Amino acid sequence: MPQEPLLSVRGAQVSFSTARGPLRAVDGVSFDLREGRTLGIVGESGSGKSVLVRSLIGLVGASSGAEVAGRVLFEGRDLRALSPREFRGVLGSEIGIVFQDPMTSLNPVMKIGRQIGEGLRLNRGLDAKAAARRAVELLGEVGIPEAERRAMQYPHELSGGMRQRVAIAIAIACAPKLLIADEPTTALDVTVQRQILDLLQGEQRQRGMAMILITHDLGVAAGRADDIMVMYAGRAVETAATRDIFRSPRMPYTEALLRSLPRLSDPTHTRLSAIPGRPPDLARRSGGCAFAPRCLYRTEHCDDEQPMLTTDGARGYTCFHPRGVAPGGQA
Amino acid sequence: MPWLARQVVRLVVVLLCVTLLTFFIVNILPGDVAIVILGTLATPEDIAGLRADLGLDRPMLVRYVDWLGSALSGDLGRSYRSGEPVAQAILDRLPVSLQLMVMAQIIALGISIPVALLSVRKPGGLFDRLSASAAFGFLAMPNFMLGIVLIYLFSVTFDLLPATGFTPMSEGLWDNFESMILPSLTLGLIEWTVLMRVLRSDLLTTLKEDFILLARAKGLPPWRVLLQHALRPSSFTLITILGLNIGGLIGGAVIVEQIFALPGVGRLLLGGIFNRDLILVQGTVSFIAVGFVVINFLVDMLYAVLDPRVRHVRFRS
Repeated sequence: MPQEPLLSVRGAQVSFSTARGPLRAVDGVSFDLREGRTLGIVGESGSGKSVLVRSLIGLVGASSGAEVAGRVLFEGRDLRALSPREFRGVLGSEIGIVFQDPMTSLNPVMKIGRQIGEGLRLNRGLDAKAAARRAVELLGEVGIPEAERRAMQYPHELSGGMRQRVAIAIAIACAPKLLIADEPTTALDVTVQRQILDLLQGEQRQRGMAMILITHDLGVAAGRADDIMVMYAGRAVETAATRDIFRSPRMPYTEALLRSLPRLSDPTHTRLSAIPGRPPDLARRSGGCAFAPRCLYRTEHCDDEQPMLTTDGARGYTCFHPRGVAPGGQA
Repeated sequence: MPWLARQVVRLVVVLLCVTLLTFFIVNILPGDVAIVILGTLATPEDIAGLRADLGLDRPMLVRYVDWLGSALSGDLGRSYRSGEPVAQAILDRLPVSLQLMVMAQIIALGISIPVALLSVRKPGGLFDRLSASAAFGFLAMPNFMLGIVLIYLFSVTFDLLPATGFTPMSEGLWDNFESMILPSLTLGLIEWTVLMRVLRSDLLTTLKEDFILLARAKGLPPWRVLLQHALRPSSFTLITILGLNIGGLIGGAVIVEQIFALPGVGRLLLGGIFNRDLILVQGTVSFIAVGFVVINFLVDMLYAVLDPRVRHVRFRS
């Protein structure tokens, strides 16, 4: 390995207790993220991608009724072994997060400038004046015109795209090493989605941050992520470099996801292929592969046994019948 | 219609309804102020004479319109029984009721806000369950009973505070304060329960919002997340109920003033009702209604202070 990963996750688990028994929302996910790289985490809603990432940074945990397990190393430090105070320090100054819906992720009754400056005062020790000045600069950096005036406004006075820019300014305010973007464009108009993604990527490159881009849309991750981790029913079912995922997916689920993407080369009015069936009920897991009921290549084996992770160079997948691999042999 | 104009129209309509209804109800009450004044031994002729002097022989509606006319010019009439101007009688007693109201609200808020904040730290935890039980216990207690329990505890058993009676501020601030502690506690100890429960439930809703997650992600310690991010957006129901309570207490707390022998507006009203002193009752009730509507009008303005989005909508319309 050339360098120690910035973030290293091993065997992450999150379960919630429900009336119907424990629900394992995230089940043994492991991944590494190196400095400056972008990992796309892709999956349908309910696949556990948001819960996974939120659990890593303590936003899902005992206080929200979840049981969390696994090891999370950030710059070699075990985040789960830190005191709450130390943990807040790492969270506030080293990790930034952008949520899906900027209508709800900004405090409606607090001025924008103060929301940006808050973290700076807390984590960087700036005084009120310096924090306010820096907030205006940050607003300018994320492309908000008349930053000075905007800083004195409340979130409802801005459009959705502008609000997401503010959210990004908050996330990058303390110059974090890791930026987490949790479906950052899902709640936005199509026309501004691209601008926001470009902004995120631009900030990331310029600051050398690592980024986790969570999305249900493989197309969003396509041009932006170095690596992609596909999640299904709380498990990482395939991890590979973005190019490899698109060129030759191993996991039938990934293949199905790719087939459901519209392509410019398709003739107009081509029907998009949908994945039949629904994601499984996480409170009633079967013993076999979670995707088996919807899979085109399913065999009896798939129903009986949970496929383990197969590693193949830098990529990994959990499937008995991987695509693009000769049965019993190499690709 | 602009917001302010709507509020004024609402005030006028409420006042007309309230005064008309009061007039009607006091009139159909059995008993007669003339009999109260003259005593049960008076001859029917004397009573009829006094009724004519007081104008009670005229039809109800005529008397109402008459009263309304002078009330609009600020003259609430004179008490049938004592001859004292009603407006003056209310003004004399108002400070007592206001002080009671303010102190009771301070007690209620002083208990409810910290308790609500502490109980949402761990919903379903020991503190949360204990405070919920305490709240329901106090809520279930009628205030006359709580008043008597407090008197028994603080006056009879420990002899710390005066049991009843009122000391005006002019006779010493501390004595005045002491004489108001038990009555205010009686109101406040019951009122905090509702305030705490609504604030707790609104806080729990707010705490599920993404902006709370974002505040935590900034590294803010839990208490700062609660105080700086969650409290203000969670305080609307609290403010609404506070407004209703204050509005209600503007007219005094009838039972509490009675128990503790406080010369407030509530006791004035009660005396008026017992004496069938229609003019006094009418004036007091109208005053209370105005107070109620005005306080809630102020509360409405407070929403705009608390929430910039309300300001936005109002300035636009």
